[in-house]
Amino acid sequence: MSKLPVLLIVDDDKNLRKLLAATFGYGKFQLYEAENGIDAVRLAAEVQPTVILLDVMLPGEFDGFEVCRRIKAQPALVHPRVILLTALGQKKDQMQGESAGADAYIVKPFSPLKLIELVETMI
Amino acid sequence: MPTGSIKVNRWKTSIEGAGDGVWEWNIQSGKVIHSWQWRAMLGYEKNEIADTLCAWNSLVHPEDLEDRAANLERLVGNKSEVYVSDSRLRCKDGSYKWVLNRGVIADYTEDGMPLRVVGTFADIDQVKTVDEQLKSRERQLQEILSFSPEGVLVFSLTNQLTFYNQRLLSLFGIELEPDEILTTIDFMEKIGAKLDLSDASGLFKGFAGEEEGTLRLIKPVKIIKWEVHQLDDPVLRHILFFRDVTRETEVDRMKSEFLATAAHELRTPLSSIFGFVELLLARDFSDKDRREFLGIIHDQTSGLIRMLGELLDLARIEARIGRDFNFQQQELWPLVRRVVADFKIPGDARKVTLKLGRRKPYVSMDEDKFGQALLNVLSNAHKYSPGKGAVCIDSVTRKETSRNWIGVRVRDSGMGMTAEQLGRIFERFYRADTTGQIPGTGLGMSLVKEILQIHGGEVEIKSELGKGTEVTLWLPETQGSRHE
Repeated sequence: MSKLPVLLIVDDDKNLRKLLAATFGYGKFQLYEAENGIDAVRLAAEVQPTVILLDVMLPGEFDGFEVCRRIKAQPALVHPRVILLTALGQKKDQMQGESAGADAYIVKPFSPLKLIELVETMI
Repeated sequence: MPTGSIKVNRWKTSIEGAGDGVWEWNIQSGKVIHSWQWRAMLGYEKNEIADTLCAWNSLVHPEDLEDRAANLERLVGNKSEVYVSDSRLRCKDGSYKWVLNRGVIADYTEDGMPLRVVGTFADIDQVKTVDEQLKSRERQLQEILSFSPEGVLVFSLTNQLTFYNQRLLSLFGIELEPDEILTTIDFMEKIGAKLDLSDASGLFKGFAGEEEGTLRLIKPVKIIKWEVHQLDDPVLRHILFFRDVTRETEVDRMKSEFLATAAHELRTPLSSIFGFVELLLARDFSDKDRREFLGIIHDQTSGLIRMLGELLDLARIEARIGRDFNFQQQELWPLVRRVVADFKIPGDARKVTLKLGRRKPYVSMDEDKFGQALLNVLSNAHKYSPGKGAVCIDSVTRKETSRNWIGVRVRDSGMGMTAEQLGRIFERFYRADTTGQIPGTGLGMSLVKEILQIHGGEVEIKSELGKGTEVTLWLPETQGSRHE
């Protein structure tokens, strides 16, 4: 049963969470959702996701960059792949994402079908 | 003293040959003897001027008399054995000519007091004129540069400060003595304490010939742009210009921040719209899901439309600064009642409690615009107090020496704000709610503020987290207000 790859969706906008859940809700993934950075870090440790879809501008203490850094720093055999989703499209934001250890950087608005293709290459 | 006379005669001859004249003055008798060049220089005939000191003095320009008298005083009082004085003397045609007189005591009385003075005189009119012209040019240059909005600084080849204008001093908030001799390094020390040190080294490079840079002043906080140019001059090396760019920098920063925020605010709803439409096109969903997705698309699209409208309103108000406001003297309460009567939020049955009091204040306002401001505040009060008590509107007044103010106060008992949130309420796109639960663009209160400012009014906000918010729209009252 639990052989399905785990996908963690992190976004503070409930419409975006719904969109991502609908996008990946075709039976190939086990889905989890978090709406802030602290929950995301905790949940990631708990459910060991294969891929994390991570919004950059999150309310509270940790933004997406910080969440990414913390998850990538956790001791683990295989780290989750992190796809940053962001409405900040500037070069310096992208570089900040790279230095936080993100595997991909997607600027909103994005194509759900292309995002599926990208995630499929990671599992 | 025959030998002495011969010497004096030779000396006279050689001086007169050079075009200058000689004179001799007997202090005791007051008699003055001049060589002929004296009269020729000033255009007088022989015997037109008496051979006395008084006759001399009568030719001196009134402004130079004091200086000349002081010089003579030192000589006669045996305080100095030489006499040097330049003064203007009146020519026969009424004009004045600059003459340089130099003398030395030639004989003393038996008790050691000066008796006889001999000296030369020279026409220095041309030298003086050129000198005056130069000084006047320099004064003009100073005057012109004193009106420059930029600080100007000139250094010589020996790295000495040779010129600066008043603006330079005010820009850096420093003082210099008028004749203070400063080197590049002295000047850097003067301003160094006021600079962000990481910038100062840049300016040093500037003196070494770099072309431009920016300085951050710590106290007072200023951003100063400088540029340096090499001067093609045998004495002067560099000219530096300093310009206060604090305001431009701030405006630039706000513009790019606004653009970044606007892009973010547009991208978020577009993500939902674009994403759900793509999914709906690509896959079959249940009726229930499809309805939900279409509902989200509709909500997000209306949000974008609202945001566009408010952005345009803001831009229009800012660009026109109220020129398209239609101000009318009118009673305030009818408009407030109308806005409240027309106000509804779908799915929110709460009524607004209205307590306007017995006075009938008159104001000068643009009904539509002020109505829009009030509507924004009213709808915020409802949105941020879901299911929690009635929203109440009442009136408040305030007296200032010259005028009375009337305030429309809107109170809710909703979620309220922290001091930090309150501090940012007028920022474009700022939302106290980050969960996306409460719809809004973050532009409403910016609009309210702009509209009230153009009315000559104010927005006052008090808020307590968890307790509620109170917004007062203040307008100056005009003639006509009365009691019922």
